[in-house]
Amino acid sequence: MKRLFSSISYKLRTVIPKFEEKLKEIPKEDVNFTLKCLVSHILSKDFSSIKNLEDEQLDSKQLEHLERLVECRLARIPIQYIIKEWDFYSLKLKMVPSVFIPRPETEKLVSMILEENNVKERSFLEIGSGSGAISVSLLKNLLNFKGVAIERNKLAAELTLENAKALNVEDRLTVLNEKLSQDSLKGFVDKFEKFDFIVSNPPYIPSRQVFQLQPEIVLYENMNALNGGPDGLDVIKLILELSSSLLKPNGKLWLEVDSTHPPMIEEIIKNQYENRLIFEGVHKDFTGIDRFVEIKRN
Amino acid sequence: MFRKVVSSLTPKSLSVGNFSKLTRLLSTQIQLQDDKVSTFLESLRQEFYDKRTTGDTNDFTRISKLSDLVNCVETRKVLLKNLDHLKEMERDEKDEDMKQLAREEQEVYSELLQKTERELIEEMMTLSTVENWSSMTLEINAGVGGQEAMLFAMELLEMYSNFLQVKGWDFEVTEEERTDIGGVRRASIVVNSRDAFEFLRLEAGVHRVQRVPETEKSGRIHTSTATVAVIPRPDDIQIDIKEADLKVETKRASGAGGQHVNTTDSAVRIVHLPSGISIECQTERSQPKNKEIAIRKLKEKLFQQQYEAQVAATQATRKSQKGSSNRNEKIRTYNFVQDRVTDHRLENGGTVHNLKDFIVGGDGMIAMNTRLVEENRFRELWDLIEDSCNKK
Repeated sequence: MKRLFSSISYKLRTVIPKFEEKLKEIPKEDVNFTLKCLVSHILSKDFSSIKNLEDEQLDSKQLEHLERLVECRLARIPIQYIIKEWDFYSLKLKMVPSVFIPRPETEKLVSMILEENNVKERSFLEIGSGSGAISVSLLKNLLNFKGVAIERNKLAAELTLENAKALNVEDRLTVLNEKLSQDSLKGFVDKFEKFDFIVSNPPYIPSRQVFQLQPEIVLYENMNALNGGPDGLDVIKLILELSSSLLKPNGKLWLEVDSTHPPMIEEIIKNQYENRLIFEGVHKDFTGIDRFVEIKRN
Repeated sequence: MFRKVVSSLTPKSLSVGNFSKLTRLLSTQIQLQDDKVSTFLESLRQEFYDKRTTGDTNDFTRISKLSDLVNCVETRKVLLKNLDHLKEMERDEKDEDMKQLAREEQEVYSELLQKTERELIEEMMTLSTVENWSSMTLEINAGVGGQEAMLFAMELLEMYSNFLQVKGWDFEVTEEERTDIGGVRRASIVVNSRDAFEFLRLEAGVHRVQRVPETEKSGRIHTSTATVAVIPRPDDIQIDIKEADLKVETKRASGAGGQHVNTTDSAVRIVHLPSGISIECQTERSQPKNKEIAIRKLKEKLFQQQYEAQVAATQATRKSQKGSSNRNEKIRTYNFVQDRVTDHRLENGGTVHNLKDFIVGGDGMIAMNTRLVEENRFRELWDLIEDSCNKK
C-alpha cells in the first residue's frame, strides 16, 4: 500500500502556487528562482537544465522533501546552506552552514588577480579563506601557482580543503587552521617565505552594523567572517602589517573592503608604511560601489 | 515529371550530400545539349584555363572546384567525337562484321558517355551549393491567433525536434517560453551540423494553420500563424560591443553590497543603447554567468539583424525570391479540416495529405523538405546558367 502511494508523481504545475504563496512572505525573495534551486537540488539536476519548473515531476517523497526545504527557507536559512552548494567563478563549491557564503562581488577580485598573473611559477597567501572560493578558483586558473590559506574557523578550514580536493587542487594548497592576531603575526612572518601576492576578503563590516543585517546573515552565518571591529578595519590592519613583511618586492596585496574604507586605508599606508607599501588604487564592484583596493610592496 | 521522381524517393535513405536521385531528376531537366548549358560549360572551361595560366593562387579553391568539372567536359567531348566517328563508320562501312563491331563499340562508348554526363551534372550541382554554417538557430515564434497560434508553435517545435532527430543532427532546445495551456510563445533550437543549414533555411517563413482550435467553443475554423526563422551562428561572432553602450541592470544594485547582503537574485538585464535591444537572462544561478550569457545572446541578436539585412539586400538583386530565409513570406499551410499540407513554393503538387504524420516530422514532412532542397539547388544552378548566358 505504501509503495503504491509513493509511486504517484506530481506535476509541479499543480503544487507550485501553494509554495509561491508561502515564500512571498520573505521580503524581496525571487520566489520562482528559490523554487528552481530547491527542485533542481531535490532532483539532482543542474539548475540550468530546468527550463520550465512547472513541467518537472516529483514523487510523494520528493514532494515532502520540497515542503521541508521550503520551511527551512521560511526560517530564513540561506538557500546556499539549504542546497549545500553554490557557484563561484564557474566552479560549484560545497557550502556548509555558518561558513561564510561567497558573494558574487568577490568574483571580480579573482578576475583582477588573474589578469595580472600568468605563466611563471609563483605563490600566494590568502587570509580567511572561508569556503575556499578565492584560493580554489585562483589555483584552478593559475596552474603554476601554489597557495597557502589561513582560516581561523576549523569548520571553514576543513571546507576549504574539501572544496580544494573536489576540484583537484589540494596538492597545491596548504590550509592552516590558525588565527591572525597581533600575537601570531610575528610567527607567520618567520614561518613563510615571501609571497608573490596576498589576497583577502577579510571581515570588514563595522561592528555596530553587523546585527542590523538581514536575518539570513545574522542568524546563520558566522559573524567572525563579517565583523571587522569598531571601524571594520581590525583584520585589514593586521593584513597590512603582515603584507609589509611577507610580500616580495613589487608583490601585490588585493583586498575586498567596505565602500568607506579605501581613503582610510590610503591614510594608514601613508602614515605607517610609507616606504614599504604603495596604495595603487580602488576598484568598483559590478554594482558600481568602491569595493577593492590594490596595494603594492615597495 | 517532377512529382513522379519525388514520390519514388525514400526520404530517410537520401543522405545529405548524396544527390544521386537528384542527379537523375536533373538529367531530365537540364539538357546538356541545350545551347545555354553548353555556353555555360564552355564559359567554365574558359575560366578554368584562364585561371590556371595566370596562376592566380587566390583562386585555388575555385580552380580545384572546376578542375573535375572541366575534366568531365573534356572527356565528354572526346567521347562524343568518337561516337560520331563510329556512327560514320557504321554508315559507310560495307563489311557486315565491321558494322557489327562499330555498333558494339558505340554501345560501350554510350555507356561511358552516360556515366560521364552523370558525373558532370553532379559536378555542376556542387557549383550551386549554398553557404553552409557549422551552427545555426531555428527560432519559432507564435504569430497571429493568440493561444491557438501558441499551440501551433508548440506543434512546430515538436515537428522540428523529430525532424532533426531523424536527420541525426546534433541539436538542443535552448529556449522555450511556455504558456499555461501547453503552447509556446517562442522557442529556439540550436543545431550543430554543417549540413543542416541548406535544409532548415527552406523551413523559414510564415507557417499557417487552419482548423477548429481546441480553445474554440462554437466550432468555427480559425486561421493562425507561426513564424520560423533560421539564423546562422558563426563560430566566432565578430561583433564588438562597447561597454559604454551597455546598460546592465541587476537587482543587487541597491544597498551596501558585498558582505552586507546575501541575496540570490541572479537575473541580469542588459540594454544595448544604440540598437535598443534588451536581453534578460536567469538561466544560471550565478549572476556574472548570466551576464556573460546575456552578452552572448545580444551578440547573436545583433548578428541576426545584420544577417537579415544582408539577405534582404542580396535578395533585392536576385530574380528568384524563392527558397530564401525571408521570415515574412507565407510558405506553407496546414489545413486540418482537409487533412492536407500545401507548400506554396512548390509549383506542381505542393500538397501532401496525412497531416497527422506530417506534423510530427514524419515521412511526408521529410520528403517535402527534401524536395524543396532539390528544387532549390536546381533553381540556383539554372540561375548560374542563365547568368553566364546573359553575360555573353
